[in-house]
Amino acid sequence: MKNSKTNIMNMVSNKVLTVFIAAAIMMGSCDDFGNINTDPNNPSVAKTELLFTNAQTSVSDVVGAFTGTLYVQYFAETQYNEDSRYQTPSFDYTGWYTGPLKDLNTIIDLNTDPATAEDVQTGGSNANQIAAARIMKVYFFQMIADRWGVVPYTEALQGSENFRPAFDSQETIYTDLISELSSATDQIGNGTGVTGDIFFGGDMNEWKKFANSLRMRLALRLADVAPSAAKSAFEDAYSDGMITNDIFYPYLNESANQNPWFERFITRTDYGISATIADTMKALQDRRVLAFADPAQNADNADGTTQFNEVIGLEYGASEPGDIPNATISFPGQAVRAQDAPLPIITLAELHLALAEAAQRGWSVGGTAESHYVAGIQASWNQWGMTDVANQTAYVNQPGVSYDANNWEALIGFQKWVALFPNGYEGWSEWRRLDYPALEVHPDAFNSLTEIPTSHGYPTSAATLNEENYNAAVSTRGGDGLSVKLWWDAN
Amino acid sequence: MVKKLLTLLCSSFFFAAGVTAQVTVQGTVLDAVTGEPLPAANVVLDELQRGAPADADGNYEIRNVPVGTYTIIVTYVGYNQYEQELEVGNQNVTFNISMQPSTVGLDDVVITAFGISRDEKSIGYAVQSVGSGDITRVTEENLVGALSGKVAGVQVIGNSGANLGGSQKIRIRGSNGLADGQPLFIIDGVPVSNRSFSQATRGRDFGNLVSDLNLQNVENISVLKGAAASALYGNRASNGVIIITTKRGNTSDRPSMTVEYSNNTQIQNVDILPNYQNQYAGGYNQSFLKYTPDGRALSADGSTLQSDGSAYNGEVHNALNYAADESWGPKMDGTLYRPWWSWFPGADFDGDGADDYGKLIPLESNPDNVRNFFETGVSVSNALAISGGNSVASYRVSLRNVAQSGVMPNSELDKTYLSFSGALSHSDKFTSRVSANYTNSQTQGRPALGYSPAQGNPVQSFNQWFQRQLDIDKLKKYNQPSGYVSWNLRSPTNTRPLYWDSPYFSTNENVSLDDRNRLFGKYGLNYKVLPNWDVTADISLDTYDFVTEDRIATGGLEQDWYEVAKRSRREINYGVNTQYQQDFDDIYVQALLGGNLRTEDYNSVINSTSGGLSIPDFYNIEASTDRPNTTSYKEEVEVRSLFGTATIGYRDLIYLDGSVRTDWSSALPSSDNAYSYYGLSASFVFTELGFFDNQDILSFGKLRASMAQVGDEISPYLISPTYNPAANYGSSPAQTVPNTLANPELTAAVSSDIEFGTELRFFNGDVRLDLNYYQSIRDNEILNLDVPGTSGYSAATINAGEFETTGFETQLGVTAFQNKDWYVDFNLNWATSESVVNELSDGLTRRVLESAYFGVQLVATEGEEWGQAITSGGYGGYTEHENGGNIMNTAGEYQLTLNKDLGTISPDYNGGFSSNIKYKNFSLGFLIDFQKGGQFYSISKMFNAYSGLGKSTVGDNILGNPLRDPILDASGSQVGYIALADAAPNSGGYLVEGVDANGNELQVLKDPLTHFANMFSNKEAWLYDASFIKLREVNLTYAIPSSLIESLPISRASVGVEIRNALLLYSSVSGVDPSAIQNGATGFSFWEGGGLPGTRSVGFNVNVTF
Repeated sequence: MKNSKTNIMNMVSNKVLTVFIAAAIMMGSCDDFGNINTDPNNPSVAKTELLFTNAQTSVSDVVGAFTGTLYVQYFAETQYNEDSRYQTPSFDYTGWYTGPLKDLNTIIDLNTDPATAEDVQTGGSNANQIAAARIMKVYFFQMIADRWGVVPYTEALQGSENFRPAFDSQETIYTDLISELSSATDQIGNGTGVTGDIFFGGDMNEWKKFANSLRMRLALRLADVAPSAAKSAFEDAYSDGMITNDIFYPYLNESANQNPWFERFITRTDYGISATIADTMKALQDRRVLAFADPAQNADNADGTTQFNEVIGLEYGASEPGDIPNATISFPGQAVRAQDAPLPIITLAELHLALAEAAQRGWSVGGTAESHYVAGIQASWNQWGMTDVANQTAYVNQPGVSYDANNWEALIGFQKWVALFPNGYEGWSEWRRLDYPALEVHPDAFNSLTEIPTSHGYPTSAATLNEENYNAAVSTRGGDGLSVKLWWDAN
Repeated sequence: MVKKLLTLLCSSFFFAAGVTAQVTVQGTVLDAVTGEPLPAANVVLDELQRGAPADADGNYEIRNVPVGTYTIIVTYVGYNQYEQELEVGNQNVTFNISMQPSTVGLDDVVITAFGISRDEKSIGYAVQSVGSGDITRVTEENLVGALSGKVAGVQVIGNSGANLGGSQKIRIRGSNGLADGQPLFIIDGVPVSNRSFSQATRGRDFGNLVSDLNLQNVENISVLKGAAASALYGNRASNGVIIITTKRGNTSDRPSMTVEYSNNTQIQNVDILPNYQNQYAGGYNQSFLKYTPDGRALSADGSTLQSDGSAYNGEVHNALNYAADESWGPKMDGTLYRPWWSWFPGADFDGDGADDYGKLIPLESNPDNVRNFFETGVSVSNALAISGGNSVASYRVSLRNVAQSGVMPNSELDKTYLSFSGALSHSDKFTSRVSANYTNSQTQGRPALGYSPAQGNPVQSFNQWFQRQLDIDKLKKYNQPSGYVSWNLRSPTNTRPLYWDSPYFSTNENVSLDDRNRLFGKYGLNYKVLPNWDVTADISLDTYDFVTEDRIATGGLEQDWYEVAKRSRREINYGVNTQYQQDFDDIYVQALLGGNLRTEDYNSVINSTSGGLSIPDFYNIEASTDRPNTTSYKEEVEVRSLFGTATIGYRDLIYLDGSVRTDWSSALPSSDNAYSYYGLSASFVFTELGFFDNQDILSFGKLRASMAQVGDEISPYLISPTYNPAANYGSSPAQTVPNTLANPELTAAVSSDIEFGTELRFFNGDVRLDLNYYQSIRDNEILNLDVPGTSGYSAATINAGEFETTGFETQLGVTAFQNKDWYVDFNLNWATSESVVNELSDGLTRRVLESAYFGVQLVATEGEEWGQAITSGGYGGYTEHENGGNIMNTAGEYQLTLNKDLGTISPDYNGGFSSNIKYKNFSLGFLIDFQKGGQFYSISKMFNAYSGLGKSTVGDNILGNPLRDPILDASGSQVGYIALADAAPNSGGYLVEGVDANGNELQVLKDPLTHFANMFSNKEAWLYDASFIKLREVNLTYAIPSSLIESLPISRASVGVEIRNALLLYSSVSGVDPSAIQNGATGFSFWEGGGLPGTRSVGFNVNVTF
């Protein structure tokens, strides 16, 4: 008996062993999983032209943002006026770094790295791709520097190499941005133009002109704080050739790429044309306001056109704007908020007004301050479709508009304010620099602000995730919050 | 079937008749609480030393019993031993026995890893069991919700009952690490997904998947809390394991069959609503707007037309500012005015058949307008179960349907559960077990939650943006010949809604639909090599396909839209293990060796229209005006594991337990994809020592200790960098570098636990006390750690951190009273835990866990307790003066401290208190659960005040004047604010109190509209204590005496009443239920806003067993 039991045991053991061996075979070698962990949902290679398209679409968030338009009182809020009262003291810049700047940086890296440079030439020649990406980077960085002043720049965008980038002074950033634009322009060669370019269709000459124009904008901003550097950079950029057409962000008749003002008005009516700008323009018979605004419902004579008396601005500092019926105010015009209405990135009007100021400052840009001034105003009228020369001439020649060298800051400041509409951030920057036109702070400002904001506060994440560098930045900048005067905002 | 039953009954009568010559003791053994039969309960007549096991129906029979007096002793696993004197004459005796469940008894068996039943005394770590009686005390469809308050150290983050089938969340032992992971659910050995399909902060919540389990089938739930208990389940068990055992048929020498039917009908009503004011109507000031009867705007005094300033002498109509979604408007004092519905030519709202255009009505309050919006929900459940078995086979089939209508209009849920489990002995050696569960769940009209979902959230409107005077019945008539209408007109002549559709439009037109098929089950083949050695091979499956549809109807405020998403998942586990068990004289040995292969596949395709629908009301992707948004997603994971465990016991005194496991995960870098961990535990039953022999106080005492590790799950695709597709620009595609940095060097995280505990039973188990202390350290968790975005990435996937949780759990049970008629039993669970972030990542001191709307974040800060709420984004809290008081200026505006730390959201402790009381045929059960401490941020309360909807914005001020009255200075002139001391005695204004910079007290009367608008920036004011005590479950059951049903083919029947969410007994915050504040399932549940109100349900049960 004992014997037979052993046999059964042996037999059973063999069976069990077989099961385990089968299981082991079924499981294969334990640590080899083949390609299971290759992400099927996201490509592992980049096409740089697609990165470029994506980075360019972020320009919409610059030119279509509303915050600046409230600071400079292009628009006023209807029911909920907290933003007009500067409720938000801190703004987040991280999306610019993780979004377009990171994409652009990756384009530069992939075109630079010998291992990938050849593969990414579907996006254009390596040199041209790098150049265009650098120019776009400058565009975004200037916007960031103009809003927050002291921000990470030289140590930024290094990923795990440096998770806590130091902040650079606005001066450092501006100096480098200007030189970046020069060398990027120089880098543009005869190779294939960039593809995936929704602004210039890969025309590298346009890129050169765009870069030169941005350089003029950057240089002029330094007129008060670094006059000689400003002068030479401006003159240099101008002589290299500025844009010959207005550059717009091209919106499409589709919801994914529609004008942000259109989007804001799909269900809501939060922004009326501000009385600050509407009343001033009406008083000067400035026909651009007829494009800026639609007729107020109650004032509309329903003839399909907009007349001066149909444009009714919304008082910017109204204490209870919810009590002002929608029917009594003008909302932005179709030229501003049609689904595919383009929004200006940089325009001839802005640049001619810049040239006027340059000439006034004695920089050598050819022409007189007045000639550029008038050209700027006319360019702006043309931009808004108000091409009737007689009206333009009448406007330019009236008191309050006609050029007066003794009062150039107020005149150019005012005209720039109007000409930059509705580009809020650029309008805000130039208003801070030139200090014209005189705008009143909202009477019910939050946090006891007594002046219109002159800076943006840092995002909470800067303080929580990069504390040491943040503290240094705040001390360099002279404080956090909305009321810091940035470096170029002198005088 | 009835015929069959009758046959069965007849045959047993016949059988009984044939044995009248001998005296027989027979009867049924039932669970005293649920009335369920207890198959295999052992019934013994002590003096005779003879007994019999009960069959599948709980029937027992002992034949040939001589006349005499006996002690009848009944024992059954998980129940208190039953003893009763029994006199036997020369007639057959029918003696029915009700066993009292011992939640934590002396000889309990608990289910541990791989379904191994073990004597609880042999276990060296904390396992807590919940029996079916506690699970189904009241009817609940979501397992997670059913656990609330029943297990020490388990915190259930509940959801409103109005959120039909919405997600509920569970935390075992405090916060589950920095990632707040969820436990693993195992149903009859099948790992099942409990994924939640809830949009993060707004939109629909399609529920969590473990709700596909029919709770009425549950026999027992074991909660394995720590690593020692769960190490054998591998890398998904790091947040605990919840093991569910369902009811089965029993093999029996006498073939038997039991049929059970039950009906549960519940009615559900909205419980807690915010405290609304009913004095002021919509608008921003207390004056009426003036219009001509045909809607032309007039000047404030009605004398001129606003459009051209010309004089007007006609009839003037009062109107409200319908565009305002706030309630700072005119007093509701009966003044005649034009309601919103009087501006639609040709429309009849009041049902009198006449055109209501131009109608004037008195402005009066509608205090119950919000409550009247909600409906009475009705839920009807019908369940049928058939079980039985013979000597070689057993089975149980159950079918259940639940049809429910929710308290939100137009919300309905229909769920069908079908389960089969069976066992078959092919031979002495081979046994097969199979279980299969199919659940179909169909829902319509799940409510949209949170802040401003595009589908519309009526509750958010009611509580945050509304006009208090609105008559809800009028809003029902939103569908007029002219189109859809709403109260929120832009103006009398532009009646397009500004912010809000009619709430009924949102619920009746923007309807979601979903349909899910779920199948899970297992086939296992067991081979008994020797009586104490067997080998099991099994295959288990959990799979679902889930289709959800959502839409925004044509003709409302928002652009019309349609989305359809299909998600499917399949998990298959192949397992082999061998177990050996031997009881030598003094030594007990048990060992298990096994291997498992797990494959998971997940697929989703989500399509939605873009740019509106090209054909109105055609809800199809084909109707997309622009290129539709479409994403497809696929995921595949494979994990291979080997594991072993061994137990050695000496007498009943000491047990030692060891386990080890290695996992190979496909998600880890191929160069290093294995990780191993172990567990060790010991149990010492000190009452087995002779020292305790001669006393009858401490019946049982055990000390236990364990230390163990468990590996963490890792998601696939984290290790390789990718370039993600981005939104097209027209026909140009785009791509972007993701914001999260991939990490090719990830390693699996392993958490380590140490645990000590004791289990004490006094007076034969009448008093039961378990105490447990643990420390859990999670090291190098895989985290998406926030990094400064200026680096180019907003987060990096890294191994980082050290996170330590220590806690203490206790369970106390007392059987206060027990005799033939009475049974009174109490149980208390209590747990406290504290989680500390010892370390984050190099140089990073703070991690944002979640951002709520409007400036409050939840963060983990190095060196501090987990989960502090801080203000962010430029919002702040009070600035406290060093001598006390909050600093403010003379205008009554508090000085804000930005980025203020508002303290932890973790509760100090929580638990549950339950009781089962039985008197004769009545049994009463209740559960109270409670939480002390913790905080939440209430966006509802904030906007309830901001918008003038809440009671806090009305009433009299300190001077006894209505606080909304004008603020007057001493000379009687109206001002915006004034120091209280300088105010006229008849001044209105809301009293704001604080101190100036020097600490001097300030009292300012301020316009409440401005004050509450300012308070929007002060987040500290909207943070509330989350403590609560809630009477969550009450059940009263009456078991119908067998004498009444003798003549029917019914063996047992009972009826009952149950109440769920009976009463919020205590809460420090009014108008919000802190026990049901969840916003979706993805967050940490520290804020509420736009959530649904809590509900109370009352149900009626009928249970019949044939």
